[in-house]
Amino acid sequence: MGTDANGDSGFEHGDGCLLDCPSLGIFTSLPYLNGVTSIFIDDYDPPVPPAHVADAIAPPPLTTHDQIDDIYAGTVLENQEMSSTIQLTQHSSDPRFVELVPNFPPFSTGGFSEMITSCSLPKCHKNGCSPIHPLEKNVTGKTSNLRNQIDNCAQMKECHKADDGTIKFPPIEKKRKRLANDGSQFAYLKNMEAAQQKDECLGRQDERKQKAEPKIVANNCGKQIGEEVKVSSQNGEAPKEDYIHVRAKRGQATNSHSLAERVRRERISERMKFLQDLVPGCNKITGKAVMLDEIINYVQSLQRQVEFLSMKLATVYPEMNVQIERILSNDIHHSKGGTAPILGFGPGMNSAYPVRQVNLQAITQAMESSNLQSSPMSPMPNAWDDELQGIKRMGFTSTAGPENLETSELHESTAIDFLRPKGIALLTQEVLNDPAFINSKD
Amino acid sequence: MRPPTSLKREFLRKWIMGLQLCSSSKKEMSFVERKKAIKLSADVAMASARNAATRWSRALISKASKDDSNKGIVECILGPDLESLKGASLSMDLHSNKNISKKILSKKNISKKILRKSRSIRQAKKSCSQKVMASSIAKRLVKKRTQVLKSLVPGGESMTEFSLIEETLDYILSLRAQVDVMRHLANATELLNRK
Repeated sequence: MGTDANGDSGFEHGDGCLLDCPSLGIFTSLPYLNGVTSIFIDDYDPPVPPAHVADAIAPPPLTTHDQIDDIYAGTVLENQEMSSTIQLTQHSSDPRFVELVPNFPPFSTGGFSEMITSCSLPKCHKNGCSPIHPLEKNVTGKTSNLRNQIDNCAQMKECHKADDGTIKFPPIEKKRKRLANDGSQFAYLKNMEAAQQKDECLGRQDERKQKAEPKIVANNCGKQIGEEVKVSSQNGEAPKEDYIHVRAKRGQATNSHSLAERVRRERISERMKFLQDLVPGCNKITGKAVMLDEIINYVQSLQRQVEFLSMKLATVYPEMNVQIERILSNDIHHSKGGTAPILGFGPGMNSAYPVRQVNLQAITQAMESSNLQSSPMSPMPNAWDDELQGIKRMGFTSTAGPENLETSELHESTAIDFLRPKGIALLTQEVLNDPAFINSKD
Repeated sequence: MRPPTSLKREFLRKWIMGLQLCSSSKKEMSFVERKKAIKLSADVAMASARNAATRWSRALISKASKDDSNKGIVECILGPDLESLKGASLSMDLHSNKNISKKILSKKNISKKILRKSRSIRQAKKSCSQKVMASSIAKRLVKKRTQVLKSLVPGGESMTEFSLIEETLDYILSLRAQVDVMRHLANATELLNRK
């Protein structure tokens, strides 16, 4: 399997064959250098009706990754499918996805805890439905498994009594203490929905089973309640709706450890599913080890890309000064589209941070003025050249005229052209031989 | 999805600042130095664009600011008031991570090793069935790979498995945004230079 080979190369980097990895990265990216600019042009002028910005941004990276990384040589179709799952507009039938997408904004602002809880919500709904099922089966009466489940539901009412005797779980300890205050309330509210059916079996079996195995039962209850407390305290919502209902299914151990294990495993597998959608070409993979392998390869390739791109930029900018500003101002204008974001960009940038170089101020001001004039140009034209010409003329009013500008730029560009054929190959060799580079890989 | 454009914009803005600082400080830089400076400012900009909400970003920033030569860039990118915030969180993270995680990890590792040995002995005695062996092999593989992943994600050493996966998620997203922005910039310069 191809991934195994790549996995091996990934492992080798730990063993010290570092040269293999960077060379791999460079060789796979060389075609990117030479022939692929057309593709990037296509990516570069995304159709910018703002509603589809997210869509536009999501697919291009995937297709270009497809080009660049031989490792991820999925078909283009596959990647498009992948991108469609990420797009806001289309969703797979997986309900978790539907819940996931609107909840990603908390990802950026509030961090992970909100994401966990919001993503655990759909899971709760799913699991919340499930207890009814086995209960219905139970009523028909298979006692050996009934016992487990009924013990669980019995304890949901009783557990606040059993609080002190069941401190076997260090992580749950604190939650149980919190529980002690709220215990009965929680038990009640939780039971509201599925309570009726449970009460039936409770009534029958309660007295028999209650004394039988208080420990395990209490642990299970504690486990459930612990989960509930945790989730609800994080959400701050009515506890009746959201709890991770950990129920011992038929034929599974109700050992407290195994319950915790199962919960942990479920959470991990859920996260792995999200990762599956991020990493291209991983839809069909089941199994942690292979998934992890793919993830490792992907992260490594992304990091290598960053290295390579920074090298490339270093070659293009012998002096990082004026060129950066000029090109970035052009770049900002093109890639971000429209006038409003740029106007927001410019003054915000000037005011928030002390601008050390006068050029930047001049350029942003020129940009703003040019933006006001260039609004007919803001629908992204497909041809780079015309826009560039136009903006150069309008933006850089300080210099004499378009021709002067172009000649002055030409001077610089010829200097760079001198560098370039000497170019990437030699410079990469230089870098590879540099011991600092090799160390920095670590 | 969290709007990727805003992330990219943040990143670009901070990156520009970092680059300006680099270029203003040193006039003559060798190729390698330039490349390192670019990469460093890109990484720090990326990390600070996440506003230290994630562990990997904090770890990255702390690593970068340890090196004295990089401190200037880091401070510039982070901005004045963010710096104090991050200083606090960084020091806390550093110290807490160092001390606690080392102890915890060492204890964990020792106890895990003991458990593993006893378990394997027990298993070997009980049954050498294929299922058991297969599962143990699978577990070992997973362990190996999580180790590798921990080494890849910045600050991954002191993370539980679960948080590691989440951090990886976020890290992949930000890396992708970073690569996109850098690639676009490189293309823009190439095209401009061709003219």
